[in-house]
Amino acid sequence: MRSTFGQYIPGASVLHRMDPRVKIVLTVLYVVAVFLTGSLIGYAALTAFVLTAIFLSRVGFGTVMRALKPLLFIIIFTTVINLFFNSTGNTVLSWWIIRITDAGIINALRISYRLTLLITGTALLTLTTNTVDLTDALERLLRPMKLIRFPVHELAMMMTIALRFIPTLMEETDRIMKAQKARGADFETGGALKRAKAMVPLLIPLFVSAFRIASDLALAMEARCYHGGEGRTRMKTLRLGRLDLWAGMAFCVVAAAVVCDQCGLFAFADNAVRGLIFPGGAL
Amino acid sequence: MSIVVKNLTHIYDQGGPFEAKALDGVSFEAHEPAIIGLMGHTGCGKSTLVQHLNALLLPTAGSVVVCGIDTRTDKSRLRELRHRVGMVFQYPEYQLFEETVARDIAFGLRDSGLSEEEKKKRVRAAMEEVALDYDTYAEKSPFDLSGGQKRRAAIAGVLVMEPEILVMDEPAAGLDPRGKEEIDDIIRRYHEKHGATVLIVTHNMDEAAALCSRILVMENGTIAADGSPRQVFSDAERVKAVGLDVPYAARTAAALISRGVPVRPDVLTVEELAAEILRIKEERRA
Amino acid sequence: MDKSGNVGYNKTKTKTGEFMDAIRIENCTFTYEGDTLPAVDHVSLTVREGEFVAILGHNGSGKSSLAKLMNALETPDEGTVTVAGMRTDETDKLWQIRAEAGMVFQNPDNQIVAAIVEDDVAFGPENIGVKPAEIRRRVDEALAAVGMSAYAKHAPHTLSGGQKQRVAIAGILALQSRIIILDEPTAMLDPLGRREVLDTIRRLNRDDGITIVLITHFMEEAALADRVFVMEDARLVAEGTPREVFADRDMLRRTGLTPPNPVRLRNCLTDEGLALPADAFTDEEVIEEICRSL
Repeated sequence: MRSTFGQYIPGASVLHRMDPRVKIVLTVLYVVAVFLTGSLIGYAALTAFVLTAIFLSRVGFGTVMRALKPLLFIIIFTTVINLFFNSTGNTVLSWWIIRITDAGIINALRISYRLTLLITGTALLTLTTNTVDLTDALERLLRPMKLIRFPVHELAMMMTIALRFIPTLMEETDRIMKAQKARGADFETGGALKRAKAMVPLLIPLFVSAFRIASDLALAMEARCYHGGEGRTRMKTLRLGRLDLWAGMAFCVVAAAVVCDQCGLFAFADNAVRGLIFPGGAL
Repeated sequence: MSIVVKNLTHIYDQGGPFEAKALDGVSFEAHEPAIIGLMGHTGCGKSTLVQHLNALLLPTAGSVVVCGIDTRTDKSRLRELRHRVGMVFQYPEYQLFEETVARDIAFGLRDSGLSEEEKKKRVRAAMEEVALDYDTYAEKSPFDLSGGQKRRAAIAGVLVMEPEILVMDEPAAGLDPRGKEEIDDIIRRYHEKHGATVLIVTHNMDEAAALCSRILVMENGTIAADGSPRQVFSDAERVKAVGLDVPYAARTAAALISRGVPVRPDVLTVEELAAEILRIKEERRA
Repeated sequence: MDKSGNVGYNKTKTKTGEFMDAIRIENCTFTYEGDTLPAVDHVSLTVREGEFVAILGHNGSGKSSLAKLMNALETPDEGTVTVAGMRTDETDKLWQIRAEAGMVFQNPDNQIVAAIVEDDVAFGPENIGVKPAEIRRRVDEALAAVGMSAYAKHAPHTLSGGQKQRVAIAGILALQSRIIILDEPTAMLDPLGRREVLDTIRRLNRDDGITIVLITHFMEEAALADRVFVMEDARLVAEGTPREVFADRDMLRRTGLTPPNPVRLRNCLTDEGLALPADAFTDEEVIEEICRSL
């Protein structure tokens, strides 16, 4: 089963139809909120938000969860570190040098849940937005940076071209690899050094191809009147729609909850919940 | 040397989201040295088929036995197989990488156990085979050659292994008429000198008619026709049905016949057709 | 054939006059930096508006350099190139010239910029600052003109070679170019793709009066043109209708070009004593003449 992290699943759901700029901004704010919040109420609000988004995206709960796969190791690793190497709080279990405390458990749970929220939320952005729209939106969002001479257009153009030529270069790699294999090249066996050396007949032609493509493309772009970002217009304009407004509103509610929570407005509720879990009153 | 392909089926990405059947029960054999043309329009399975001949691809079902080596079961002999079956891919000049032409050509020999002297001899012979002068070009960078020369240097890099079977995927694609003729010469020369079987994938009917002694036509992953160029091209309807053109000479012969000029219907080249027309002229004069 | 009939697609364009020269090259010499021999050596030629011309010659004969001079990608060291009345050495006209004379290159992959077909077609007009709504209209029209509307949202790498070249042509149409220069556009295509591209450019020439300059190795393609130019060693060595050029056997032998098949058959027969008229040129004409002579 392949991971879905970074993949795009075509669709026409509410999330797919949203303005990619809004999606990016909300994702960034969401990430900030995840880091900011520390309480159960905050997590509950964010969980509700992300679950609603997953439901609306129609890509399927399983698909989103599969995005966690490549990062599972990091989640487990940080969980274990927090679980075993926390010296504060009441000891729950002690064995050899390991001392598990209730604070450690809470911390480990918090961190792993935080990472899960983070990854599912951001994965949802790439799952419902194709790379072209993503670059496009980034260019527009970063436009104010032009004032400080940040090469926004150039960066966006580079990303566009990279996206366009990744499949082409992959085909090229496959072809050259087969051709050298037919001449007896061996890319699979031997130690690290031997394998690295075996890559030379693949990498050099690939570089040459990349340069050839670059020079061909530069000429073709020039022939089509390309002269940088100055005076350039775009066919596709992004316009905020009602959907984006709804999404923004929904997030505002969640954000308000998180902020109020951080300010201690829901402390009573939080304490009540904690009291139910840890009657000893650990934290 | 022999090629025995039996009931070969190949499915890409089996069970995956991009599952596609590229070959569907292909069978053919070749035992005598010959120049065989493999034709069919893009996506018919030609490239998939030829990649089975040196085990770059393995059968999903069926078997491929080349030079007595079964590509599915004789795993230990695949290296040997790749030396005995030379493969020239499309635009082979894009695989050049060494600092000099001679070293690039010798790449295929590096694990051959040949002495340096022997290798040099082979490289020289291979360059002669593709009409690149050794003294002029051996020490040049392959990237400094002209387009046609690069192509020939890359072909020499395969010929240097002296394969018994030479597979070429559109070896003349993108070249100018002069370059195309040179490639045809290389194919003929190699076939005659080494008694090798050359399998060429081509779209050019006129070239195939003039060069090949056998034509395999593929369609949708199956073999749609197999025979001498005369047999294959004289069935114009069939050739057109698989989306290919009939060579000019055969097409014109058919037109002449319909106009009451009784030329042979199975002419392959302009020269043959001209001879036929002159024969009829003589007959009518007599 | 009505070549001035400027219907449909480019209607809004101000016409520059009925019998104007689309491209005029006068005594041009051009040498690449670092080269000693010129790539184009004292070449003069004129392409009339609405004309379909073909340029033949071997690799390295200067064909492609000539094409780059026509699109102001290069400027001549000597002589002048005038495109639709604008001289290519006038730098303030650069973008106008490139918009007027679009270029299609040999490798279908290496000239498509965007990761979606319609975005690529929009690339040209975006560069010259056309308004979004207008770009949209032009892109839709251009894709329709090359029969690629159904592929507007596809990724270029999923298309066939012939389809990619048609997208490249659409990219030029969206710039409202009146001249299309094609540098061996079919060299890397299979017969089907070649036919697609040729049918497209012939239709654009015939129906929309677009001037076509086709650089090619394929004699059968050159035979379709109104006029043919032959380049050899940086010089222009022959020009005329295909009928005239392919009848010049000495020139063809000198330049090593093989004439189209019907002409080869005619030559074969003539050499063997069955003389056919030297201007029999098309499939039908040659068959007709053979039947008559028997």
